[in-house]
Amino acid sequence: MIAPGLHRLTRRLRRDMCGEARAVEAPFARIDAGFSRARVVIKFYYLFSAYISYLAAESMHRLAEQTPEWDFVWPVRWLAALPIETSIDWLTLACFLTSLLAFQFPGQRLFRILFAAAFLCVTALSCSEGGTNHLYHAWLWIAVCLIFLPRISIGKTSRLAKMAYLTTIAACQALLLSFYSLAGMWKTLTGIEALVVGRVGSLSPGGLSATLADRMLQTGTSPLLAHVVIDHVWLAWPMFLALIYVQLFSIFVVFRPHLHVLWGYLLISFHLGTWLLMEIVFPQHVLFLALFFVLSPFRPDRMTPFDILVSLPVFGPAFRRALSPDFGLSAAARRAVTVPPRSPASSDPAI
Amino acid sequence: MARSPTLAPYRLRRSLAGVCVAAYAVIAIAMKPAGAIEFFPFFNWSLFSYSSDQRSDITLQVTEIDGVPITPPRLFYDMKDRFAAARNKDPRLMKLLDRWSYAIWTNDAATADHLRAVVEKNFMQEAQAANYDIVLLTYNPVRRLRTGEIERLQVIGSFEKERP
Repeated sequence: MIAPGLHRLTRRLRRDMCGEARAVEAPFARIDAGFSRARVVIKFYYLFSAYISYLAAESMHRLAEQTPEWDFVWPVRWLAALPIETSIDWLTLACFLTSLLAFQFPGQRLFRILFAAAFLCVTALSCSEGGTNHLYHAWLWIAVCLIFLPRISIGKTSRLAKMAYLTTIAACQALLLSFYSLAGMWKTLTGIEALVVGRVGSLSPGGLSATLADRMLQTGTSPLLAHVVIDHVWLAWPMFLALIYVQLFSIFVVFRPHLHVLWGYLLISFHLGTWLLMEIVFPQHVLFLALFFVLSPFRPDRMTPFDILVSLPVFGPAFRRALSPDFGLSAAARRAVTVPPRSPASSDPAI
Repeated sequence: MARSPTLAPYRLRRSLAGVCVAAYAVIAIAMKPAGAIEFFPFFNWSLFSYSSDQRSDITLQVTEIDGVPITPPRLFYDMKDRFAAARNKDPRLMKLLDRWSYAIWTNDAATADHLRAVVEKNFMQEAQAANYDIVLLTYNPVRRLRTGEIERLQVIGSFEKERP
């Protein structure tokens, strides 16, 4: 009795997550197209990994030279028993070589595992000076996810194998977007708490100004646009609310291919904003957002503004009602925006 | 309706993917050790979540360097002329100081001594010897940015970096 009920519940949840957009046409052809794109994304992921590892080799070498006292996190505690500076150089070299191997042979799980293990150590090293640095975390988790890509036979790949491959990519996207949703969730919770107790918080007009000012005081930075935003609270407030919306509802975007490209650019803009307002850069995040969302294997070939608007979390149903032919649109506008009947979108990430 | 057995491994993969993504969030939130920012490498992505017009910050206040008193005492991040970590705006020191003060607060002497050594050797290497305090500042961020006003300065502990 429980199983069918649970099945209905999860099915309904997936449908709700998929939103109001049209179901994709020709799903089997889309699997082929998505699979081809996904293989390119994976190739580029390991190419960028080689680039990042190459840069890390230099920065870790400098770090080792300048760090007389370490606070190793667990994956690199073993380094304490070795000559640290040379061990770190060998480790980053291993990371670079394994990323090249995974780039050349992306179908070989062994190389993907070796790269993930080496990159785990490099990430751990960057967090072993007493304070955490989150530059590499998301890139590491992508490497972990990609270990689970299914084996692809050299000849003709079965449709099932392609779907399994795409499911792994979708899981990777879900994990990445869950990071942003978690970030949005904390801002929302602390904002609600502040509203309840009646003080300035994330959701109130002075929230962003206070955060920016605090960051500038703590680190002595002078970001390019921070003073403008601090001095114009009524500019800062909608910006911060929009950011919280984009972050909080990111996880919904996994199930809404029409939003992949838009959300990719929105989140890249967010990282541009962290530089302009806080002097914080996340270059690896810009790369994976471009790879996994702007170039998403699931992005539709053709998109209309209507598809995007009705797919928006929370506001999608309102846009659908507002843009429907019976809602007082002019004849010209009705011709421009043809509203298809709502059909249940596939809840399957691979279709 | 009977389900196709050939789709079973695919369905299992799909379900496991969902479970793993949910598991990450649960582990990142539930397993964060007290006083630490994450259970590495599970991070809960709480970054700049807390906004308020009343902020507290743990920082260092330097009172003497290499035998020369500093009057009035200066905050570490204001000493860009002296410390590379202040010049580079290294945010790792902020997180490290949070951990150190938590260790002092919980009487975890071993962790506190270790983190003190990390601070002195890594972030204060430009000074052979120094007297400094770890302090808790309370302030309104926008007002402090405009006027420099700090509402309260509480010394958590005073330390001396000895000559090697």
